[in-house]
Amino acid sequence: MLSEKSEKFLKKFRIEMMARGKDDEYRDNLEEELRDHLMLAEQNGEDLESVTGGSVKNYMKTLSIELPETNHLRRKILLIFIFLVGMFTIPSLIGGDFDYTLSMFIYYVSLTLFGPFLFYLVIKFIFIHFTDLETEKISTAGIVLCGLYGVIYMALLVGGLYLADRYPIYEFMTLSSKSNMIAGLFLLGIFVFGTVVMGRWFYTFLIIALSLPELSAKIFVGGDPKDENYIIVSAIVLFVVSAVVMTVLFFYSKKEVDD
Amino acid sequence: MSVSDQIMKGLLDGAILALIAEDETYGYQIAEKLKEKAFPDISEGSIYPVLLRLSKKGYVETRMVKSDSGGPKRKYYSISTSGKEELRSFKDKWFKLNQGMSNLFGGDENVK
Repeated sequence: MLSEKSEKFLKKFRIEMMARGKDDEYRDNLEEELRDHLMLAEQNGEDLESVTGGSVKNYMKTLSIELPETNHLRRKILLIFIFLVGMFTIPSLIGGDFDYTLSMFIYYVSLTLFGPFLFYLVIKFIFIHFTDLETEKISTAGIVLCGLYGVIYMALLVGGLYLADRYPIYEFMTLSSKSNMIAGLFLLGIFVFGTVVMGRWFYTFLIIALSLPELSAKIFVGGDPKDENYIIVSAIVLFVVSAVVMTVLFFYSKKEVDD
Repeated sequence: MSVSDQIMKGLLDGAILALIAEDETYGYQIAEKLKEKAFPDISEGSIYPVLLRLSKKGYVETRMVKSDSGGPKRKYYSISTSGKEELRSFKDKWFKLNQGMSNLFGGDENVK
């Protein structure tokens, strides 16, 4: 039998490996191997500290580089943030009211550089500190924290965009509505191509769906995004698109449950 | 990482490969043998990153063996053909390096 201290170390070690997205097979084998080592060490009067140093975090650092990742957590988070940047930029470019200001530049650079890093750190923190060691499931407090963090994060994203829009600091240039639209369509093309190549159909669908209200208003009404008809058409399309997205998500999740 | 730490890291790879070449073995046994042979500055857990590295490079082969007493499975390591070649190359470099360093330091007394 392994001591309670070593057993706790192994569980924390397992969760740390899961949080870092390490390969399942390697994870199971390494845990098994360490368990065997610790059992033999304890039988011979050695303790956990003499084998691993005692700190899960420090021990993981020495192993992390050698353990392959399977779910490529960091790459996925980075992709989501690139997508977020596109999501905030493309519709307003197509609409023609995108601002080329210093504030917007700072906003997008911060969102791309610090966004994924901060997101990963907080999610990893919740995963490591709020996962039940027995069931390996996130506790209720962890889920509440995730929800709270999601709300704060979205508030920061939207609030930051509002502030950048309201306080431009310095305007680099002003492009005509047509030039903005061409840039927007060009970026949309890149995003659609990129997501199709990567096989991320959901993102392809989502970016088209998000650009559709501005695009259809531009085609059918044209002119100023602040025009009443423009707002009505884009609002109607936004409503239809939202309904379609919700329906697709509903059937998709239902199919997953049935499977 | 200091120069001496880097040297130790490189040497540990060769030392563990040499131990595995002697006979099929497992983690705890490797750690014990390193202690027996007075390999310096080694914590037992530090052998696992090395074993993972050797395994990734294909220098060692592994197999999991179920315990008869209901304990955890034990992972056994044996040296592969490419591991044997790597060990030969390591030994060759080590003897040359050892000779060179001894010449450079001018014998044990000057090292101190």
